[in-house]
Amino acid sequence: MTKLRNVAVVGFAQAPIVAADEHHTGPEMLYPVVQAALESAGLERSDVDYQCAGSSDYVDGRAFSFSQVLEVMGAWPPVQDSHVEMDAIWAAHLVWVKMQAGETEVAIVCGFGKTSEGSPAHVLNLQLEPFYAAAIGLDAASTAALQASAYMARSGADDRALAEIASKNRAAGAKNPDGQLREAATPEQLMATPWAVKPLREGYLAPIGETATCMVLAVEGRAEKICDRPAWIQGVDHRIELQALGARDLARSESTTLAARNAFEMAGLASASAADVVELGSTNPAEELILREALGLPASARAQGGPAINPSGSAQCANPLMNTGLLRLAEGFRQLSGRAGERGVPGAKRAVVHASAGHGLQQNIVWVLGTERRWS
Amino acid sequence: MKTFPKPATIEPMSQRMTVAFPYKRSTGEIVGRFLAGLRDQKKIWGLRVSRQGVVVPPQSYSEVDAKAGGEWVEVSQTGVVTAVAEVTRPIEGLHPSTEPFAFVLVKLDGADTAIAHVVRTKLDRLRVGSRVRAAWAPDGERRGTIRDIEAFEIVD
Repeated sequence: MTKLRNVAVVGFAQAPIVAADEHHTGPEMLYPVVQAALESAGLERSDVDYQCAGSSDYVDGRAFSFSQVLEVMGAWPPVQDSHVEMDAIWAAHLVWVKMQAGETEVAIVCGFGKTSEGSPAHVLNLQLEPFYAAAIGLDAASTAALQASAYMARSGADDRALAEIASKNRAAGAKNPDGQLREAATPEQLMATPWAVKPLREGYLAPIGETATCMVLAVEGRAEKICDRPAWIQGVDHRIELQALGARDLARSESTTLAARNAFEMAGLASASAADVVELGSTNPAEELILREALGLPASARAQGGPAINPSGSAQCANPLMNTGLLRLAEGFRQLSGRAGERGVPGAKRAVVHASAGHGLQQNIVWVLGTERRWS
Repeated sequence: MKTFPKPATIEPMSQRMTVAFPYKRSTGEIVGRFLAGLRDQKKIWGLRVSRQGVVVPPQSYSEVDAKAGGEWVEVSQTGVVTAVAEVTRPIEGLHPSTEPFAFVLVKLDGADTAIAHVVRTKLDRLRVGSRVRAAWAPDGERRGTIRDIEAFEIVD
């Protein structure tokens, strides 16, 4: 394996995840978060030499949406700045690549998107291919339900299997002060909720919310000075499925398996089961079951032993678009750096983090974080 | 000059804005030919491409190996449901129905990929594995869109 540059997550801050913040603009939601992230890392704005945002013009209803937060992130005097039209976890990946290229040492990644100001169902329809998929009116809950039905038909998983996974996440989410949905629910309670889009019930679907996030990343030599317990990036890869919904196997996540294999090889991690913590970007229990299979993790919520899966409650308990994935990476950081509070997994040394973008787990990214540097 | 006190708190204010940007998209050579088949022939055409088989609906280039071209093949109007999403509360202005309906993926006989569409009737009997058949929009009302197939119907 090629020797890469050691890069770590060294700071993170977020706004509360809410259904709607009627008092602030998106930039106003982000501003205190950037300040808090820099303060937590003991940094001045001038210490940061690269910044990258993850946001969406369609979510925000304006062109070049990222430009509205340039001053919030601090672009003047001119710094290196970039943007991805994806969840901010892909901005973190871009930062990692830039750090490998030797172009930056300390960087911030921001996510923002006021989902309450528009209609996420309509916006997410526009993600789809226009003539065949968008044109029949598909929305993200419906494509998720298509995927769930294909998985259930192939695997034999029933409504109860989904409810048990969902209930486990709800119990964990209840203990996460940074989550949105914070009420535990039994499988029976969840199975009594109405169909959202059958075979997914309202109790299984993540609430779409809004927040703002800021993560600080730094290279070896800087990271240790910034953070008492950096979370080192030991491996990462992301892969995409075929775009046509009907051309790919919705019942499996081949791209997750491939990304994980590459990330694990980079990290020298035998498997996801060898980690202490696994944090998944699934927004419903069927996605989680597909991802568990793709990562070689147990298919049942009742399985004992192995890594702690979704100590945060996962994306199922909060889905603030553009931030959902970065929050998974933040959970990995919090778990490894002793910042996870009550839900902290004792002695956690390695975390596997997953996030997804697009309809039906279209694109998947897998990270391995560790308390130790990978390359010396 | 009059000075204003700094507002400690203000009630949340907002402004309604509608951002609309209509397009007239060219359907291109491949999608266009497929859609013309729906409109003019009431036939469903696929494209046989290497490593993927008969792709329905066809795409301009192979997603698997990026090759262009392929042999046009007419596929059956009947097939098997590979995924079902039953919408109980349709979303206004987005979904193709105001009544409960289902989105489906249908692998038509003779095709190797599935087409996304809707089923409007007999939803209680609809499941993965159901056999369905295309139902057409009437002559004169087909516009060269995927919705020239009005819906798929369960085959008894």
